[in-house]
Amino acid sequence: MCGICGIVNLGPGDPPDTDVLTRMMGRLAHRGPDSSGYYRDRHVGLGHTRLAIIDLETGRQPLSNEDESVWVTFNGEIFNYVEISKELTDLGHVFQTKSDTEAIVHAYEEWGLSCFDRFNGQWAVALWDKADNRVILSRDRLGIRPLYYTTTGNRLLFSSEIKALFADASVRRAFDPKGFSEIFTFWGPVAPRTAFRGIEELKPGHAAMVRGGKITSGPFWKISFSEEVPGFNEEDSAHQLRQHLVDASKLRFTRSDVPVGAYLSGGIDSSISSSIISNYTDVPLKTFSIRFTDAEFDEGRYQKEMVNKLGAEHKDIAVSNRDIGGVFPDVIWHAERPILRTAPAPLFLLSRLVRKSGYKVVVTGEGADEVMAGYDIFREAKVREFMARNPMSEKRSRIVMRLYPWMKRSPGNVPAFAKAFFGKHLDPSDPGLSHRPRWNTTSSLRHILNPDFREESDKANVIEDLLAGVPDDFSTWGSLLKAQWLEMVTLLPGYILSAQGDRMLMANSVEGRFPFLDCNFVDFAGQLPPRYKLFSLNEKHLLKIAFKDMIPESIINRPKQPYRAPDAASFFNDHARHDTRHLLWVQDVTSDAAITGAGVFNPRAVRQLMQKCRKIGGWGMSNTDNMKLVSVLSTMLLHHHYIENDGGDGRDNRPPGPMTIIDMVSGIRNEQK
Amino acid sequence: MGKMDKKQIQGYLKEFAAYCEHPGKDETTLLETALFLEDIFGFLLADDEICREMLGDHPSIEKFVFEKLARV
Repeated sequence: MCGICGIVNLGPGDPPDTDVLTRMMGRLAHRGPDSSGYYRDRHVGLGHTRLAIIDLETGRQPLSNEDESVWVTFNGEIFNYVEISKELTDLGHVFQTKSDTEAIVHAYEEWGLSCFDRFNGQWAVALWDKADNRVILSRDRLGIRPLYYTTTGNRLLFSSEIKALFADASVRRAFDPKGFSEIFTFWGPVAPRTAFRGIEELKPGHAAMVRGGKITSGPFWKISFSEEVPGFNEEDSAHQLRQHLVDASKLRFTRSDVPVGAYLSGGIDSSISSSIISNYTDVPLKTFSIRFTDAEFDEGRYQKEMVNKLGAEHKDIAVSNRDIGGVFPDVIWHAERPILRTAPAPLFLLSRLVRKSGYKVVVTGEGADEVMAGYDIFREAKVREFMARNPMSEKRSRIVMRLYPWMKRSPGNVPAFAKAFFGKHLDPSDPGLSHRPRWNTTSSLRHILNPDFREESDKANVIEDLLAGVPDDFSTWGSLLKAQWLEMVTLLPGYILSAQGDRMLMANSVEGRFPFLDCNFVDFAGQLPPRYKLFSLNEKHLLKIAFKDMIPESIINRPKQPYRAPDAASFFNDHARHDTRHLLWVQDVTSDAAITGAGVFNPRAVRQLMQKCRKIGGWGMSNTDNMKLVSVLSTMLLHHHYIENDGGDGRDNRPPGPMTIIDMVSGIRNEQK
Repeated sequence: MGKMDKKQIQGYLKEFAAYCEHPGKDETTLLETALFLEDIFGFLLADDEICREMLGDHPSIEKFVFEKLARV
């Protein structure tokens, strides 16, 4: 795992500026603190900061093929690089290193753009093909690794993080109201859009080509599903699922030259991936967990049970509300987008614990909820459809009692409200039916926007745009598959894998690996009958069957509890509820002057919200008010970091040493071995 | 979903029986049973069919499903 960046001339001009390139690399130092390097010729500069995980001795970047006609800078892992390298060696390619990076170069030489189909991994990569005079950018299938780009002057800049693009002072720094419209609907931006005007993100599963001053892109992979077909057998399917997941987990634990740890949340997904390691490998297992001092959020009981069963060496971090408030400005600097919940903050603290414990790779359960239909939104959609099939029924609405059992104020406890809330937007022909309640609830946050900003934001018909891009066979899918697709193209890349995933891990130089997002597992799961994912209202049905011998019943059968953290209560003193003095930044970023200056929010609405928070200390606030507060604070911090200031966060912005330099313009060639 | 044969129908019901030991346990379990049957077999249950007499145990469910499918 690393940071990548680069500068590509889109026409005649001076060679890429090494001052800019090294400044960009410096802003990615947290992604790759072990070393850095750049390649430059008259047309292209490729930068790299390295987190050394595979081939510690010779795996430095940028690197090239045999005749130096193809250069690469790469962030991520190609887990099947051993098999690919062998195939390429048999085809006559000569490898200089034992790294997965070199496999990419030779694979591209051999198979061109179709090489990406062969990779099982998580990547953001740039290839400079001098012979064809083109730069290729590519991003993994589901968007695990980020890749942003922009144009300025006659240059294209690309990078793992937006902050590195802003290292070039000519890149404009301004919020994009349309990006905000997506965030205030889907919880995160949908690539190519970001929170910043003119900054784009390469879509997951896509490759872009830069040639002749033009940038074109297209997909090399798409999410695919099959509907119910006869012939599936539960026992056989469970056996196959287990084998796929065992393979995916082993690959992620064993393809590393440094020790690999595991997150253990207390839920079924991370329990399974950890159990696989314990049962199928001889790798010593080290696990890490988040505890909460607020019992409402804590899952310590289940974590302890699983640790005891695994016999793992275990560490946890007890996170208080005050801890969340304290790290929140750093969290937003790394997240580079407004967020609506504080949930990324404890994950930032957890990766810090991992790093301090001497680990730089962890396996987590991310992706299982999307791929195996674990989220409440899938159950909710099924319940809503059940109600809609007979709206006059006296009985059906009572099934909402089965929803959200973990919520203090579960809608099932207020049947009249639940019937009214879940009974809306039930047009069977609506492709977004499953997600309308969430989208509508989230969109209501826009009421606190400044009218001008909101007008601009509302010009983007983000839901219509999203639904206009559904796959050709979308209409033939059942409701669960439609909901899964929507979740996998919005929340998964735009929030789960980014704001909660890559950014919070890489903030502390830790790589995340996700067996449930293995391409073979995802393809297998996509072909399963939907009932094996959500069976009646039982989420991850087949997963539970497949691993029932490894996971304690108390964890298999516990009601699904989403990972959450205290929101508004994190920003007010735990003991003196009316006092925010320990978080001076809260006062700074929510002052009338700051709110008016940023121009995003309505000052009066923010003032009222803050008064309410102070009055009740952030406790017991509604779902909407919690999201309003977190969105205001995160947006204003983002403004502070990236609009008022240049995105460097006052850090020294020097690339980590030792630095490899391959400069065809100046003739300096200082290849570190 | 195309037309199902007897073996297929019994296969689905066997899976449901393994998942839900007591379908007639309480009102919401009966509703969940109805939800499953509608999902899989594509028919609609009237309120008076969502009851212990029809769906309270697995033999009753099997009888109900075959009769219902024969009618639609």
